[in-house]
Parts: sequence; structure tokens; C-alpha cells
Amino acid sequence: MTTKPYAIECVNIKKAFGSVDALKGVSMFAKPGEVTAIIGDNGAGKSTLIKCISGVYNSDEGEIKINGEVVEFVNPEESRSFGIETVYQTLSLIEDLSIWQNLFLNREITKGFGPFKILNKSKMKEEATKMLKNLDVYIPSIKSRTRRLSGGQRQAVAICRAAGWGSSVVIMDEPTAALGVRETAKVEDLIKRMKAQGLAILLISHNFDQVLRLSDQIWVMRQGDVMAGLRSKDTSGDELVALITGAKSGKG
Amino acid sequence: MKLNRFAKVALVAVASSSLVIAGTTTSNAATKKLKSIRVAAVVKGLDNPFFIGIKEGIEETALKYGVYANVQAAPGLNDDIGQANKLDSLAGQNYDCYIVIPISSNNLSQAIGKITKKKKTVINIDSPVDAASLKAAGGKITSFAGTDNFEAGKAGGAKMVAAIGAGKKIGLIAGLAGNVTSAARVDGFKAGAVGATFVGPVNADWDTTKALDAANAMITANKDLAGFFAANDQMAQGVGKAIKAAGLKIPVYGVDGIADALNEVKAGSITATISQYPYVMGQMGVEACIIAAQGGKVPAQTITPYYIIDSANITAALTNKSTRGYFPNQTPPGAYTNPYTKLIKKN
Amino acid sequence: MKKISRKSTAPSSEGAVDINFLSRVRSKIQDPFFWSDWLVVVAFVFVIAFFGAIAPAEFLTLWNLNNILVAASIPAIIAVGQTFTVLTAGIDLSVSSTMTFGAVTFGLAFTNGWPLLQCVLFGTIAGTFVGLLNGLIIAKRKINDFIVTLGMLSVASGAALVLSDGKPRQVISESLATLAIGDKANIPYLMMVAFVIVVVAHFVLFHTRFGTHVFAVGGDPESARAMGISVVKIKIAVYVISGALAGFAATLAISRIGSAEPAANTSILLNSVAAVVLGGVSLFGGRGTIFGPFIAALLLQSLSNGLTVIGVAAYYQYLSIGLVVILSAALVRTDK
Repeated sequence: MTTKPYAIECVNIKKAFGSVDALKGVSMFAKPGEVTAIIGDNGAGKSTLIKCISGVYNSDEGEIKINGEVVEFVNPEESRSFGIETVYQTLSLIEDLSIWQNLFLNREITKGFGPFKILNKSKMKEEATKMLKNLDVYIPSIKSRTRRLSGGQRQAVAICRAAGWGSSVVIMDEPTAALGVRETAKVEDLIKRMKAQGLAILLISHNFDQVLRLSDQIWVMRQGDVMAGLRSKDTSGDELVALITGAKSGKG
Repeated sequence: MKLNRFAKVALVAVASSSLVIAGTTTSNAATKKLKSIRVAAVVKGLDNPFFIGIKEGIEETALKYGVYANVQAAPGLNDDIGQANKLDSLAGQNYDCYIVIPISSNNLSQAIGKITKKKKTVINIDSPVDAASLKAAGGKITSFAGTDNFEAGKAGGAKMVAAIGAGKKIGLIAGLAGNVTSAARVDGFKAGAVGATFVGPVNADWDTTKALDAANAMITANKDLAGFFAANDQMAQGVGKAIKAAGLKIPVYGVDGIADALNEVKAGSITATISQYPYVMGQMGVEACIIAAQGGKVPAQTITPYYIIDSANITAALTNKSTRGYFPNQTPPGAYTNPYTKLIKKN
Repeated sequence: MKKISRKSTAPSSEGAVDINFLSRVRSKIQDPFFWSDWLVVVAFVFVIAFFGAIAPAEFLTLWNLNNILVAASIPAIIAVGQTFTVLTAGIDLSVSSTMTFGAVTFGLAFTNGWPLLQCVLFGTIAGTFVGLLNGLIIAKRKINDFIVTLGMLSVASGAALVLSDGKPRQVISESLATLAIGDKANIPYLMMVAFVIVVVAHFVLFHTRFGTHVFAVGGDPESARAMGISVVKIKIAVYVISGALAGFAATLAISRIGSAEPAANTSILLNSVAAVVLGGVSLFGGRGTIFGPFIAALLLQSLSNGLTVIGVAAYYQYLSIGLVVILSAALVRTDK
């Protein structure tokens, strides 16, 4: 523990929407080079938690530490500047832009000065090819429109975009929910490669098999609270179900 | 053949010199057979019945003489540039003469300049082209035929005073504030109604309902009103309703001669309308074109007829070849001067 | 299909290039968007060929082609501005009265004896201001663009009438007259001005970050926002561009008609929307070019000119131009 700080740590995060307490004091952490899963039933607070981490929501109480240091951010841009990237279920890809344009969206490389800055397209295409190659993602042409990609390819592009940019934490919301068996396997391989490169990955998934297969650490949430933090290798699907439904109390 | 043409030109020159009103201009074009004369016209938007009347005047007159006429309109009532584009498109084509009604006083000047450079004739009807901008663009108008709104109003004023007697109070309803046509009609009326006193003018924006409200207010404030003048027929209709509601029996005059107004003159709810004749304007435009193409001298300026339609001549006006719809009486029910017709040679 | 497999057996490296080319052509042709991008060019060539065939002596004269270029210059500029708003899935219905407002402010400056360039600037700034208002209300207050710009259509023309007291102001200037009727190598000055704007707009759209963000916001505002793009700023910017171009186009309009007219010219609006649709810009946003609407503006003016030249009666012209717009829109349909 002393050698390596957590990539991200949440301490007693609280968030209420009006009279509804969405998060009632959540504490959790994720280590670099590990896949950390967050599971729970619908309405357990998973989405609210990752939106607090990614800066979409501002928490009412508690603190977030990155690499051991307390940070504060009020919007996704600031969260991103601390190396936290999120791949939402919607992927946030612009269908009619090319793959390289999506990979560099709002981070376009330009040349020139002041008002005469123009896009450095060749450089972006070159870098885009590298980004994909780095994670062994094969896409026929980075110039084709994102519209033409399959579901798995899109997921891969969105993940590559999040993993690029020197990020340290990548949050993924149901990355394989819409995919077939083969494409799911490919995306899982991609996640493993990212893990091998030392990224901390926060994974939200309903698929317990996948969670057990991929993750190193699991946080179980229920009604805005963390019920348990478990090492994946020490648990089972049955135990997870029991924790989620409340049949077993993790804190007790 | 050659001699024949010479003789004709000479004849026309002699004949026309005695008939011409004001200054004249001679067209450069040589005498042409009627059948070979080609006329192009660019009128205002055809979403206005007045300009449909003009269009039909042009087309039917062309048909009558056997000349070819192509009537084009601005894509919309206010599309000044679109109208200039139309005239530009036609200017390069094989026409002898162009009839124009500019949407604004300037918008066709440059296009006319181009036509003048090609030594073709331009006849301006209805709304005049601004002289300064025309000069700047190097354009020339051979003849202008249009209404004199001041004179039309003046005739109405004289008629009303003759009917109600001098020294009476007359209410005036004008169109949009600052509108030139409205001002000319109202000023003309005041000039014609010698010895009368006036209430207003109140601007009712050419609108029937607004005129009704304005007339109501004027009647309430002036019990001794002896008559009304409205600068167009729609407003006269409103005034007529106000007079009826107040239980008065005083005359109201409108201007234009639209179908509704003629019917109301017949019914007695409007006393008279000072009628305009868009059809005649179109006719004069074509006739001026023909004269120019035949090499004749074209009268430089002609005032198109206006006619006071009241109970005395309403039947004649309504039975007058009703092809216009909105403007049913296409030509005046009495005599009027057309200086052009006589100058045309039938060949 | 067969052709390609036969080619692939060819040993030469030239063959390989061919396959690449052929498959590229094939995938292009199968892409429905390829057609929406190129339809306008095909239609334009067709219209020119059609009128050229029936009336070569009238339509295909230098004089007449010059007329078409002059007539298309103002619609082209307005269409460029409209393209920006439509690319963000918006629309600017106020362009015609924005132009009128720009013209009236230009006229005021001119009658007060300002130098010409300052008048141009003043008119452009007035248009920019109208665009800024549109953008702020649409983007900040999140009110429907259709309603806001429809309201602004009335507001701007009302403002123009108030400022001018409903009266046109004559603008007689040697330089403006030269601009309106002059040409170099048979290209009218007006069209040169329009073309410069088209090229600059193309550059901005395809070679700057702003341009990419316009496409992103139009294609998928949620995703654009998630990637940290300010949807509000981009939306404001496109209406500012549309307003500024309308205000600038007022200069060209004044040069052509010799006066600053206070009455709004609504056919400018219809023309710009038609050009944008014909030019293959998706009304759902996120897809389109600048050259498409530019060629569409040329196409629409050629059509109107051609019909006039061959003597088609005015009533039928409205009919045929409307039909062409609807037909083309049906052909370039790009629903997802």
C-alpha cells in the first residue's frame, strides 16, 4: 500500500437530488494496473458515483483523491485534466465524423498561430493510427465515417480515445452490453491490454461472469451505499447476487 | 419596299407631331412588321390583383395587335433584386422593347442601363423609375404611362364639394404613414375640395377595420361631418360601415375601383370610388412599344385614366367586360385619352 | 464484382492500384451520402445542358451566363451563412430581414456622409448583432431556433422600418456601381466577392477546430458536450456568422438596386434554404459542404434565368422551381 498510491480514491462521497439521497457516503478506491468493477442493482448509485468522479456532478460532501492527492473539479473538462476519462454507454462518437476526427475531437492538433490556426490533419491521422495500433485495435480505415463501424469497432474506438491522452483512470459504463459474443471477447481483450499498460479501469457491468473474468477488485453498491469491497478471486457469483439483493450484508 | 417604309415613317412622323402631348423622343429602331415585334415586360409580384390587371392588359393588347409579349414578374412583391435579375435575363434576349414597373424607384435602373446600351426601348408604366439613379446607370426611358394620384384625388374633392356644398367639414382617412401614394391622393383631394374644412388625415394603414375605428372616432368627435374621403377602397368600406352604424347619410369616396367597392357603390354603402385602370396601363405600355418599334415618335409621358364611379355610371362599369375579377371594369365607362393607339400603323 | 476478381489476378502492381481504385469507386457509389454530395453538381450540369440545348443562342451567351453569376452572388453568400446554422441542425429564418436591417443601417451611414468602407462595416455589424441576438436566445435560453428566428424575421424588418421611417434611401456611389456591373475576365466582381466568401467558409469549416466542432454539435450535441465542446458557444457562433454574412450581403444588394430598401425580401430566405437542401446539407445537422449550397445557388438562378429566357410564363416558373426543390430534396434524402 505504501509503495503505490491508489489511482483514485473516494472518501465518504455524498450526493442528494432534492430529498433523494443518491449517494450516502461512498468510499472506494481503484489501483493502477487493475480492473475495478462497480456492481449493483438499478438505482444503487453506480451511475451517480461515476458521474461524480468524471465531474458531471459535483458531490455534496466527501473528497476524491488522485494518486493520493485531494483534487477538486466542477466539470468534465477539469476531471479530464486530472487524467480521468469516461466511456459512456452512448460512446459519445459523432457518427458523421471520421474515426480520426472522433479520436481527436476537441483535442485537435493545429498548426499556425492565433486566429490562423489550422488543423494538422496528417499529424492527427498519423497519431490516430498509432493510438489504435497501441491497443492492437484493427479498423480498416481511420478515414471512414464512424457510422460505418460495427458496434464492437465503435466501442474499441471510444475506448482507445479514452485510453489515449495520457489518462490514468478510464471509466467504462457497460462496455459490452450491446455487443455479440465475438465482439465482447475482443473488447475484453482490449481492456486487458489497457490494464497491462498500467491504467486503472473502473468497470460498470451487470454481467457477473464478465466482472469475475476481468476484474481484480469489486465494489458492490446498494441503495446509495457500498455494501462490500471484495477481491475478485475470493468471491463468487452467488455471493455477489446475495450482496446486491441485500440477502447478505457485506458490512456486518 | 424601301420607298414604302420611308413613306410610312414620314407619315407617322407628321401624324404624331400634332398629337404628342409633352416632349417626345424618337426610337432608333426601324419600322417593323407587327408580327415581328417582340415585347418583354417585367411587372411587380403577381400576388397583387392590380398587377394581374396590368399583365392582362399587356397580354390581351399584344394578342390584339399580333405582337409577341412575354410578361414576367418579380418572384415576390418585395423581391427587388429578383425583379432586377428577371430584367437582366430578358435584356440579353431578342426583344424590341421592355415594359417595366419597378418595385422600388431604383431597383431596375442598372438593368435598364444595360438595355439602353443595347439600343433597345424601355417603356415605364405605373411606378416611375427614379431619374437620378437612371442617369447614374446610363439608362433611358422612352415613355412613361402612369396614374396621377394627386389629380385623381383632386377630381374626387371637386365632385364631393359639388355634391355637399362648400364650407362643409370632411373627414380624411389616409394609408400608411409616409406613403407617397396615400399622401398624393389626400393632398389632391384637399386641393380639389375648394372651401371645405378637414378633419384628419388619420392613418388607417390601408386597412378596413382600422378605417372603421378611425371613422367612428372622427364621427363621435365631429357631429357635423358632411363627408369622408379614404385613400383606398378597403378603407372606404370600413368608413361606410361606420357611417351606417352611426345612422348618418353622408358620402364616402374611395380610390382604386376594386370589385368589392364597385358592388358597394351599387348597394349604396360607398358613394363613389375613383377608379384606376391597370388594364389600360398595360395596354398603353404595349402600344408605346409598338410605336417605338415602328420607328414612330412616342409620347414621353401619359397620365393613365381615372374615373369617378358612382350611382350614375355604376351599371355601365359593372357590365364593362368583366374579365378582371378584382378589377372588373377594365376600361373607363366614358371617354378618356389614349395618345398611343392613334400612332400605331396596322401592317 | 467479377471484374474486380479478374483484376485481382493481374500480377502487375498497376493492377493492385486499379483494384483499390475500383473498390473505392464502388464503395463511394454505394454510399447514399455520395449522391447527396454530388446530386447538385449533376443537376447543375443537367440544367445548363437542358437550356443550352433548347435555347443555345439565348442561354449560352456570355452576357446571359454573366447575368446568372451576378444573380447568384447574393443568394450564394446568404446560403453560406444558412449552411452554418443548418449544419448545427438549426435554421435562420431571419436572414432576409437581417439583410434588410443591414441595408438600412448602411443607408443611414451613407446619408450621414460616412466613407463607403465604414458603411459596409456598419451594415455588417448590424447584421452580426441580429445574429448574435438569435444565437444568444437560441443557445442560452434554449428556445426553438425556428420560433426565435421567425420572430427575429419580424423584429429585424420592424427595426429596419423604424430606422428608415419606411423610406428607401438612395445610395449612389461610383464604386458600388462598378462593383455591381463590373467584371474581370467575364467573371462579375459580385461573384468574385461571393466566391471569396465561399472559399473562406470552406476553409473555416474543414480546416479549423471550430469547423470540426460545428459538425460535431450538429451531428450529436450530447456527444459533443460529453467531449467538452461548448455547444452553446458553437450555436451562438453559427448564428453570428449567418447574421454577419446577411449584413455584408446588404452591401451587394445596395450596389445592385442603388438604394437601401426598408422592405424585407423574403425570397432571399426561401432561396437560401432551398440552396442548402439542394446542396446536400442535412437538415438534421452534422453533414454537408459549402460548395454544395454554392452550386445549388448557381443552379437555382440558372433555372430561374433559363425559364425566363425560354419564355415560360411567370406562374409556371414558381411551380417548376418549387417542384425542382422538392424533387431534389426527396432525392438527397438522408434519413438515418
